[in-house]
Amino acid sequence: MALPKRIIKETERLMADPAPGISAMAHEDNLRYFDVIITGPEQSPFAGGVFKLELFLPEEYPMSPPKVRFLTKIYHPNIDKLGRICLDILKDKWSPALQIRTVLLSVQALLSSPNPDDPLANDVAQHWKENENAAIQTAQEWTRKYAM
Amino acid sequence: MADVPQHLSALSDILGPDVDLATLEKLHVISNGDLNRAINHFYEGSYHTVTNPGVPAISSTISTSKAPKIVSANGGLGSIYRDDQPRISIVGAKRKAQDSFFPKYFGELTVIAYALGGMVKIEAGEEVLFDRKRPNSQVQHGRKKKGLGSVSIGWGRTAKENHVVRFTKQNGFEIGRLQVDTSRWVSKLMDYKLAEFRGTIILAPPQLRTGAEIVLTMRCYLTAEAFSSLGSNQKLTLKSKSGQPVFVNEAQETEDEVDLKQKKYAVNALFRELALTPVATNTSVGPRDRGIDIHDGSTTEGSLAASNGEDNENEQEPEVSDKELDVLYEKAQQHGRAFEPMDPPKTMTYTLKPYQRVALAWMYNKEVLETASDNHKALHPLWEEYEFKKEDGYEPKLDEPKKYYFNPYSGEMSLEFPTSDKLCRGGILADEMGLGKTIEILSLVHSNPMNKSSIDTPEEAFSRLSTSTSASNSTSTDKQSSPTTLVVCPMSLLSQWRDEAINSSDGSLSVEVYYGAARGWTDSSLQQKGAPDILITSYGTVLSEFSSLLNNSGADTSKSLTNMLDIKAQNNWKKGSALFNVEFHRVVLDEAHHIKSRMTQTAKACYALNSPRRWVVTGTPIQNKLEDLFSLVHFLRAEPWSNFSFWRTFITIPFESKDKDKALKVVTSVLEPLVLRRTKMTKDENGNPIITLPERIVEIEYLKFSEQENDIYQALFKDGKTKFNHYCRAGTVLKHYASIFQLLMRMRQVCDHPMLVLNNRTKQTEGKDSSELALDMKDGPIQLEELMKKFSSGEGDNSEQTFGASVLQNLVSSTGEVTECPICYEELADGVLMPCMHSACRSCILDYLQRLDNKGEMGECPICRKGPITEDSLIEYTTLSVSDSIPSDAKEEEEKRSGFVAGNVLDAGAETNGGRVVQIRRNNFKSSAKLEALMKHLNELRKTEPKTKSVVFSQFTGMLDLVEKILERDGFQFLRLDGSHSHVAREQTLQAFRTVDHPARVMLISLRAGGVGLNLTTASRVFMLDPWWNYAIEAQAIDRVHRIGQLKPVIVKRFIIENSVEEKILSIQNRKNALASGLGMTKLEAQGARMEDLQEIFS
Repeated sequence: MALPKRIIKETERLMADPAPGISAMAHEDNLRYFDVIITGPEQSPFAGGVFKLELFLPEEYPMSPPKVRFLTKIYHPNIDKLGRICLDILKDKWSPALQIRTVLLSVQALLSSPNPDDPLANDVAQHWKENENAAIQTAQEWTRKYAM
Repeated sequence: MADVPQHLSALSDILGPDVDLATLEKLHVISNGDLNRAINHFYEGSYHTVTNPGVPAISSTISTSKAPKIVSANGGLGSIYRDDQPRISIVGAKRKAQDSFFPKYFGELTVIAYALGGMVKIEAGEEVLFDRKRPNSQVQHGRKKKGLGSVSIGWGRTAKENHVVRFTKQNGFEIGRLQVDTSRWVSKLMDYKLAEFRGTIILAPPQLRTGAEIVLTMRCYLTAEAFSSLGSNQKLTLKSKSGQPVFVNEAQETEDEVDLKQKKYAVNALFRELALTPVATNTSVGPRDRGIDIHDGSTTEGSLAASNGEDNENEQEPEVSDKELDVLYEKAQQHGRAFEPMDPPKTMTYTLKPYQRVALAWMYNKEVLETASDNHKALHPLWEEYEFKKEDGYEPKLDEPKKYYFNPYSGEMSLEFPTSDKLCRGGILADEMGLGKTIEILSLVHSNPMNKSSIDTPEEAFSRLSTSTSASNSTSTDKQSSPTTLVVCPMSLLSQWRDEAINSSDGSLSVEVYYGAARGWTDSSLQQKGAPDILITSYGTVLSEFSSLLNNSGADTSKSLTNMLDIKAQNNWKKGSALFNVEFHRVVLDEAHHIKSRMTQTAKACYALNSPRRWVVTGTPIQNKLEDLFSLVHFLRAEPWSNFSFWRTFITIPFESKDKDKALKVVTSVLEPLVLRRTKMTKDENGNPIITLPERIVEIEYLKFSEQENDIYQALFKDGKTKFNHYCRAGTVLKHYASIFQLLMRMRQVCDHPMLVLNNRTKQTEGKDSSELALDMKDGPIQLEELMKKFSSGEGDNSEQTFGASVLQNLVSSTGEVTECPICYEELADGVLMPCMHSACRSCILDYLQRLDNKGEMGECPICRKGPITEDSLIEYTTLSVSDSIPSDAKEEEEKRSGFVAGNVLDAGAETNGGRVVQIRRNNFKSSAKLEALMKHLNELRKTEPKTKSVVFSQFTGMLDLVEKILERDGFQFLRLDGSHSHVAREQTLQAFRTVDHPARVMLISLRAGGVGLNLTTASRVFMLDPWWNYAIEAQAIDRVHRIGQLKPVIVKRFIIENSVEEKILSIQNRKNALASGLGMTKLEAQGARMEDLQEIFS
């Protein structure tokens, strides 16, 4: 069994006790590859949207963070058009005590509180800073367009 | 004879009672009162005809006592007269050219000479005379010429010497000159007044033209000068050429050396040309087959420099291989069998073993000096016996000497039989380690105390005369004699000597130690009644007293050895120096290889110690080089070998050139009368081994590195290999030897324990050295209660406190929930706590911390990110059940897997709760493969043979520190001995270890400190943690345990890491090539061997 016990356990727990608004399923062919669905949090411009993500557990996991990417188009200052996420715990602030669940929860939280001062998508962040309302509008539009 | 007038008494004594008064008177008149001339006239028979006595211009000192005299007639060689030989006393005087003493016909040879010009008429059968132009010294600056054409005076200037020898008619008209080859040596003989020549023309062309060949016979007559001292010999220089007393220093020696060499060359050439062969030689060292080119007396720079430069002694001299050593010692071993074994008097309570009695007999006989008429009539090894040739037409008188003796090595000739010197009252006791040399010496002290031999025989008087100060200075009786035997030994053996001396005597022997602050003896007190029989002191004490004496007298310590003696005589020693102002009854140097280098101050200090009976005790008289032996011989004042130039010329140089065998033969003959050596293997006359010891088993245990250790080792190895290859390519390997050695040393340290090498791994611990890092046990076992207190009370985050408290509570409670590791999500394997009380598996958290470190980040708790956390700040805990003191196997397994040791010591202060004990400790001790292996053995030993004591050796005191820690953990009581301990502390430690019931069963000893002389026979197990380059050192250490007094078989375990530098060292040891040259290797080959070794190591 090449798969570390931890991954197995996590997967089991994810199945047994999923977090609200988050669903993560391991792929059949590759147990390190997860199909993730996050619903847009209430009170956020992404509310009502259903966003698809992919999550991959690299070789050194849990010592190195999982790789997460948005598959659904989304208008967010910290998410670029490729779907890459600018989140500290996915990079330097990763800790092996964190797990898939917590990562996904953090992503969901990021949707609730965008941070234009630490941008990944410059133009979006610009927009968000200059005219937040307009940006929110756009975000909602995109949610309607792509995530529903 | 009665009524011999005063002025004739001396002459009468010398010539014997048969010469009547009238003759004596006549001789006296003829020689104008000069004794020497008178004697010569007497022997020549020419006193009947001589009318003109000539001008005596010599003052010679001749003693007129009636007792048989020993006067040096051979430049200080100290030969002893045989009673039936006429005695000629000529002491250190120089002659003028006109005095034709004793020209003794020696031989003749045919030469070809050539004529100069045609004015003279000669015919066959005509007598010719030879003469010399005065050598023309034209000083040429600049170039130093080598070879025969010039003489180097040692300051860079050369004098062109003139070899021309003319021969003339009886009336003085010059006929011609000798050929250059002949004239080279003839001229020297004539210049140094060693010989005269007369010749006869055999064949000459009728018309003499320049360059015409003339055939001559030359008859050679030796002067008395040739048979006297060939110039001032090195040791007892009294006067320089100007007649002033002078200190012998290196430069002065050179000039004399030059003369000596020239004369030697000339005389050897004479012998060669005259085709003289010896009648008898000392067969063991026949000069003809020695191959040493003694007849080539050219003053080559090399040999001059060699005898001149005492400072290039250490430049890569060839070492004596083991095979050669065995050969040398073999002779010495047989020597001991010649004597009837002897028992010491009853004052010695210890019963000697048979071979020890043999040793006592040998030593006793050596001290009680036999007179010259005894059994030492062996011809001095370097001399040859010749017979005078019969001169045509001349009948020798009956009482003329028929034989003479020639020393081709120094060019000296003598009419007296030169014996192997017997003035050395002492020797080298070189029994193998552990055979009981101490006891043998003590038995000698008992057997030959002062009172018996307090009456000086004349020999003793002379020996004191010649061995203490220069002969001209007869103030040696400044020093009063003391009945004390002085024993000098290494500091660590002071008490051992004292105890053995006391225990082996019935109380009548008084023993004192002269060391440190308790130096209660002065020179005067040592000469009085209350003086101890044995005074024991250390090399350090001798050295320091000597140094302070020199400082006080303002002497220059760089001058030569004989210089020391001169100063001593001339300046008054400061009063109060107990050691140097007293003539001890006997001096013994224990572990005498401490003075093996004669250049050290310690050696010089020992040489200056005063006693007619001098002994040297050592297990290995020759450790590496032949010069080691020289130092001992010099201390013993065994003439003539104790003279360094002599030794160098006749032993060192032949040994360095290809003449090893011959040189070894000489050394053997030197050693034979001086050395007694037996080994544990020696058999007595019945073929039984002289001692039986229990068996000794040496096993090598091969260990494997743990992964982490291997990583560190490989890193170092690669580093070293890179450096080595770099040096190889640059060709500078041997120049950078030191740094390569340092690398090797670090690699060896890693094999012991990585901590010895690793620098601090975190910024936090900067400033602490590696051993501190490994051993930061300051906090020691953390008391559980304290921890709980910290968390339940005091300031801080409430939740944190509660959490911590609950964790601890959890640990102790018997339910002991199983926690999950936050990293691997499995049950906590070998769990550790972080300071924030979060827990994780040890390996998981360490892995994490390592990664952070690799990224250059601070270590922190994965859960709460609290930092900084390092490995050491992790808290480990173990749980034991109360009844066991030995950990459960399961725990051990875990530990082994992770490669670290948590240690399991029952701590009395730990919490107990329902049968479980929790021990909390900082996680900062790591073990190593060797430590593990050692503990495995020690634990097993404790179980199976609890009374057995063991000794653990290591070269690195850092390693011993780590062993201490691990022993503490496992509840072993131990003792420690290394170089840093004071004398008193060492004594206590040794005493404790020797007590059979003492609870400390393990002794840790540093290899160097403990290797020497200690008696550790209460132990029967030896663990060598690391190998040394030279197996002899390890063997010596093992011999501390496996020696006389050992009752059980000795098992030795040597720990070696597989596939490491240690294995390579072993193979090098086995090749006996340990960075030294072997038999017959040149310097280049030796270097090659070293390179090979290094390449093997780095392969």
